[in-house]
Parts: sequence; C-alpha cells; structure tokens
Amino acid sequence: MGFYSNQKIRLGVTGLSRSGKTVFLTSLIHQLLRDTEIHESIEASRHRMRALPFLDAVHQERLLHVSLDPNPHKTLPPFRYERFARSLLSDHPEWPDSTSDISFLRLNFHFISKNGWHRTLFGQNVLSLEIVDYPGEWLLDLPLLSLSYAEWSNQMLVLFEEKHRRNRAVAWLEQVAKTDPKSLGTPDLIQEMRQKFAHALKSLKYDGFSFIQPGRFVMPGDISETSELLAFCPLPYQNGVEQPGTLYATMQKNYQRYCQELVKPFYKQWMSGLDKQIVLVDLLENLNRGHDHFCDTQEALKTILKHFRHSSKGWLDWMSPSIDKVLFTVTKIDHVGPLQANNCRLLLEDVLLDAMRVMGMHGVECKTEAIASLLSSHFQEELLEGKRFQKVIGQEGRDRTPVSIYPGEVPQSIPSGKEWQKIEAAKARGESFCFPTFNPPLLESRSMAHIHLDKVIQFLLGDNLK
Amino acid sequence: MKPQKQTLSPEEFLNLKKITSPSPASVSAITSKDPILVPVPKQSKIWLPSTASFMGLSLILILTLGAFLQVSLMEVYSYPLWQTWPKIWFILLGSIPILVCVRILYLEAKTLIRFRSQEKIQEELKKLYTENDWGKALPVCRRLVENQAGSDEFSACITQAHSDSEIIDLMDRTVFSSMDQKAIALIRQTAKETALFTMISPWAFVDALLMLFRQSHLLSQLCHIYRLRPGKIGFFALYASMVRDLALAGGSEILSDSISDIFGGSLVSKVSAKAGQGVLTALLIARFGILAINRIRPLPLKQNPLPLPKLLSDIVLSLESPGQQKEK
Repeated sequence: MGFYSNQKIRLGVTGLSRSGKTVFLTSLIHQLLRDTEIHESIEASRHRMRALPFLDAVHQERLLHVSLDPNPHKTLPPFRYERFARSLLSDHPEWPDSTSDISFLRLNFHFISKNGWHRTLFGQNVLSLEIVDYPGEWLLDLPLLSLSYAEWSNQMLVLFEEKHRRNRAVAWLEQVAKTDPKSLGTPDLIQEMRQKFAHALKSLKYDGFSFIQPGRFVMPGDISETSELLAFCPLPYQNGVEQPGTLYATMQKNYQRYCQELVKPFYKQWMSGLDKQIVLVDLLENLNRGHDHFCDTQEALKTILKHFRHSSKGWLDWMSPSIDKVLFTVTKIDHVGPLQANNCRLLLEDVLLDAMRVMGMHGVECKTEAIASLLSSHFQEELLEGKRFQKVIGQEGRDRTPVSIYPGEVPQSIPSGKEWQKIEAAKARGESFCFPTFNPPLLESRSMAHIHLDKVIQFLLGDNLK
Repeated sequence: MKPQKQTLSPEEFLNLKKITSPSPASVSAITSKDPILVPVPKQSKIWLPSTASFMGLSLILILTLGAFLQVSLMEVYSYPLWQTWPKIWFILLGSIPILVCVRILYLEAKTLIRFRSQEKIQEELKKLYTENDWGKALPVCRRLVENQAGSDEFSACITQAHSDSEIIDLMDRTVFSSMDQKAIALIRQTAKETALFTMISPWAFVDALLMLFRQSHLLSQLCHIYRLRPGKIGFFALYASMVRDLALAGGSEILSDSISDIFGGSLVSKVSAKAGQGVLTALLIARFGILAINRIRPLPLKQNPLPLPKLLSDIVLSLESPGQQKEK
C-alpha cells in the first residue's frame, strides 16, 4: 500500500551563480518546518496558514506536518539548513557564501488526500521532495556534453572576441596567439595556459558575468585546481594538430576526460531525473550591471535550458522521467517593491520567450513569478506630482545603514541597443533605475518573511498534494 | 523620475518599519499589460430606486394616508355617536398607522442605502481584481469583512507585498470559503426537496408556485449566509434581476447543460416522466442557487462548485426507496 500512498518528486532548482538558490532553499525549509515546535494542531495550522496562505493543502487543513530527513543520501552530504538558518536568524545576519559543493535534501510532506476513496484506503500520504543544491557555475558545463573539443574551442574563441571578454583575457589570448597547437604538450606549458585561461574566467566571474565555461575552473568543488582533468583551454584547430603528443591532442584528451568523468556523472545523477523545475533569475542585478551582463545572462539561460528533458507526462511515460512543470522566477523582488513585480514578470517572459515557447509545444506547464525568498525591506508609497512612487526601505552596507530608496522602474521588455544607450546615458546623470542591494533583515521574531514562496510550492507541488 | 536615495536615522527607520498597511486609494490607476482574467458570468443590472425617488414615493404615501385619515375623522365627527368622544383620541388613534408607516419606510430606506453601498463595493472589487495594482483593495476588503468570521485570519495573512488581486483572493479564501460550503450544502438540500415535491404534486400550477416559493426562500437564505441584508425592496429587485438572468443570459446554458444531462444520462432515462420533471426542477433550482451565489458574493466563484451530473446522480440516488437501497 505504501507504493500508492508514497510519492517521490525530484525538484531541479536551476539558477546561475548568485541567483539565490541557497537562500531560496533555506527559506523554503524554514516556512515548512516553522510550526514543528508547536504541538497544538489548531495553533500549528493557523501559523502555517499565515505563512503560506496560497498553498491549498494548508488552506484546506490537509497538510499535517513536514519533516526534513537528517540523512537523505548515502554518499552526498546533507544540505546545511541549520547552519544557514542560524546565520540568517542571528543578531548579525549575513547572506550565505556561494555554494562550493553539492549537497542533498529531502523534505517529507505528510498530508491527507482530498480524494475520499484515497483517504479511506490509504489514510495519510507522504510526498518526498528531493532537491540538490550545487554551485550554479556547474550548470554551464551541461552543453559541453554535446560539443567536441574543436567545436567548443571554436565557440569560446569567437566569444572571447567580444570586447568585455577580450579585455579580461589579454594574457591568455596573447599566449594562444603565439603558441603553436602542434607543439609538444609539456605539462608546464599546459598548466601555464590553463592558469591564464582560469584567471580570465575568474575575473569575468568577479565582474558578475554568467556565461563561464567550464564551470569547474571557477568553482572546482572537491577536485584540485591543478588536476589533469582541468588541464585544458580552447585552442584554434589546424590541420595535423591531432597527432598524439601535441599540445592540442593532450588538451583534447583532458577535455574529453573532464566531460566524461565530471560533467556526465553530474548530469546523469542529478539533472536527468527531474520531475519539476524552478529557474531562479536575478534580473535586477543584471539590469543594474548593464547591457553586456544582461545579454550574457540571457545567453547563459538559453544555453542551459536546452539541456533539460522537458515534456508532458503521458500514461506510458512513467519509465522515462521528464520535467512537466517549470516555474521561472525573478528573485529579490523585495528590492524594487510590489508595484514593479508585474514588470519583472513581463521582462522575464521576454527574456525566456523562446525557451517557454518550445516547452509549451512539448506540453510543459510554464509560469513566471516574482519572488523574494527572504523579505529584507518594507515599502512606502508617496505621491509626487500626481504620480505614485513606491519607496523601498532597507539596510545597506557593512554598517547596516538604513536607507529609503526609490529604485526606478523595471522595463517591461528587453531594452533594444538604442534603449540601452539611453539607459547608460541616464545612469551617468543618475536618472535611470538603480536597484539596491540590501543586507538580510534583523529578524526579532525569529521567523523569515517571504514574497510568494507559497505560490511557488502550490504551482510545483499543488497537484501532488491533492 | 530620478532614483532617490535617502539615509535614515535609526528612529526614522523604526517609525517607517511600523507602517504595515498600504496608504488609502486616492491615486491614479496603473494600467496593466497582463490583467488577471476572471470568468464573470453575464449579469443584468439590479434596478434599485434612487434615494430621491424613494423619499418622494414615501412622502406621497404618507400624505395620502394622512389625507385619508383626515377625511375619515371628518366623517366620524358628523356621526352623532362619536360626537361625545374627545377629539384627542381620534388624533392619537389616527397617528398610529402614520408612525408605523414612517418607521417601516425609515428602516427600509436604511437597509436599501446599505445594500446599495455593498453593491458598489462589489463592483469596485471586481474592477480591482482585473487591474494589477497595489494598495487599493485592502481598505475595501476590510470594510466588507468587518465583524465577520475569519476576518482576523484575513488580517493576519496580509503582508505589504500582496497585490490587490492577491488580497481579494485571500479574502475569498479566509472569509468566504466557509460561507460557500454552507451555501452549496443548502442548494443541494433545496434541490433534492424540490425534486421530491414536484414528483408527488398532481398539478402543474402547484409546481410553478412551489418553484417560485422555493427560489425566493433559497435566495433569502443565501443572503443570510453571506450576511447580505437587501431589505424588502432590495430583495425583490435582486430576485427580479436573477429571474431575468435565468431567462435571458443563462437560458441557453441551462438548456445545453440540463437537457444533455437529462436525456443523455443513463440514470434519468430509466425513471418515469414525473420523476424526470422533478429532476429537471431540481437542476433549475441548483442553477438558480449558483447564479444567486455569484450575484451575492463579492466576486463570482472561480469554478462551478456543484457539477450538474454529480448533483443529478445525487438526487436520483437519494430518491430511491429504502427497500431498493436495502436490496443493494
């Protein structure tokens, strides 16, 4: 009977580096577990209703309790929820550092089915939600699986012709220009070139760019930076370069090993068996940084989303897992205020229009939402010259200075080249949007507030919690 | 508009943090590119007398009554038997019906004014629900759910980040969902009872009277469940508009739904013609009930809570004789 009453769902939390995956997961667990210390069921259900009012299972008082599995996986370390929650709820809260390695979590939802027959036959149901937290940089390695070394090198060399990339990779590009790929691939030469390439990628990451391949060069995880698996960089193809022992052939071999030994297992184990997906995008930060960053993120998202298996589930599809629901979210919406939420959703729809169309053709249910995993500000409305303005009030900087900001309006669609020029000119005069970066709030009530996390759970798991 | 940045002192920051409710709506609406659409059934406007016409009618009525009394008193004076009675008694006796009449009209006018303001609130909410705005719905919703069960829960769920349509949704969930459950149970019960009466009544005229009586009774009970007090005039106006809706807008829908349900369904084809009439009456009552809920609620129901095929099988099964049920 347990087979029928226990379901297992694997949720893919997809997001580029610094898009807020860890805070999202921490807040999600916090919202679901916050009532565990309250024993009276009526009081517990009231607390849940206040925290997650748009979750139907909570509204209908069918969600009994949620538990976090302390040992969710045999080999992977568990997601360090307690540590992150303690840090965010402390007297000096800090945003968590970038995720540097993979971790796993399982949430068990104990609920009563809406269906009378199901309720009579099986009583209480359990839904296990499995989520993997990983460095966002690793996602951009997925396209490498379908690219040969020559193809990838060619793509990268074309990409590095762009001004913003070229400026940050001068040393490496000079080295590539003066090195003959047919020359002998000595370990010293390979390491030197790798180091220069890695340095270029790291400086791109430092400046906030997202399209960084291979991801392990900036976030190696449990492997050493000097490992042979990372000893390669893009090289131009010439006739005869593939002779054994040449620099090109050695790097090609290392590239293939990188794909086979690092990327493929990661993809097979964690990215191919997903049932639902949530894509977190930090649009505001990219808008702040300007045209190059915005286009870079757009390209990175498009590239990543092509490599997931999206299709609606038919009756005979239960053998091959595929994603049948995708939620695209704009994160950190608390930095602009609720009046701008609709603009954010429209802009995200514009950014991911092609991906959403393709998914729609495969029968996948897609939706966009504007969320804030942890509410770090509050809002105040003002009337100026007959027009409404919403001010965002939060704390900035190391000394947590309280500031009140009118951040400007989020564009409803992707700005064209000319519009970007206007925006850049207006920014120089201080007349364009400027979205703040707030510190996490000091939570006296020891409970995290959020925006629309309940809608996220309802969209992704609502059908399974029926 | 320039982005403004202003550093606050800790005291100012704490004061600002206390602001939890959005400012009242006195500002221009923001047009939405992507409005959330609600399937609103076609509804005819309720005709309600305006305050001026109501006052005028009341004045005419009171003056007519006064004149009639005056004339009666004059006639009474001429009669020798009454000449012995003191005049003051005639005046006192005569003023009682006038005072009662004034009292009734005053109460009716008060209820009517409240009903009209409630109608306006509903219209406003419908408008706000389709606009993607912020800060306008909360005062309206608070006014609507004041002193109702679930209003505390509603206030506790609201945060500054909720948009107008979300606040209306939350009000629906916390305050009106329990009322909906009661209303649906009532409609189901009324439909079943009406079906039974129609089956046993021998005359079509009695059926028609019964139908009218059950409909108006159901409407008044639904008004009571949703805490709506339309008053006598408001109630008749509401009922008239409902009948108009049923006859015009909902007619085609009723026909397509009910007839396909009845003639296509295997259940009803097996029962007698009189029983079939009973089931049809029950379906009409159910349709009337759902229409009434959509009219009375601040926002129409998002989905039909009482699917007709289910109601149909419910009625037919409940009408089976106890003997048949035992055999099963």
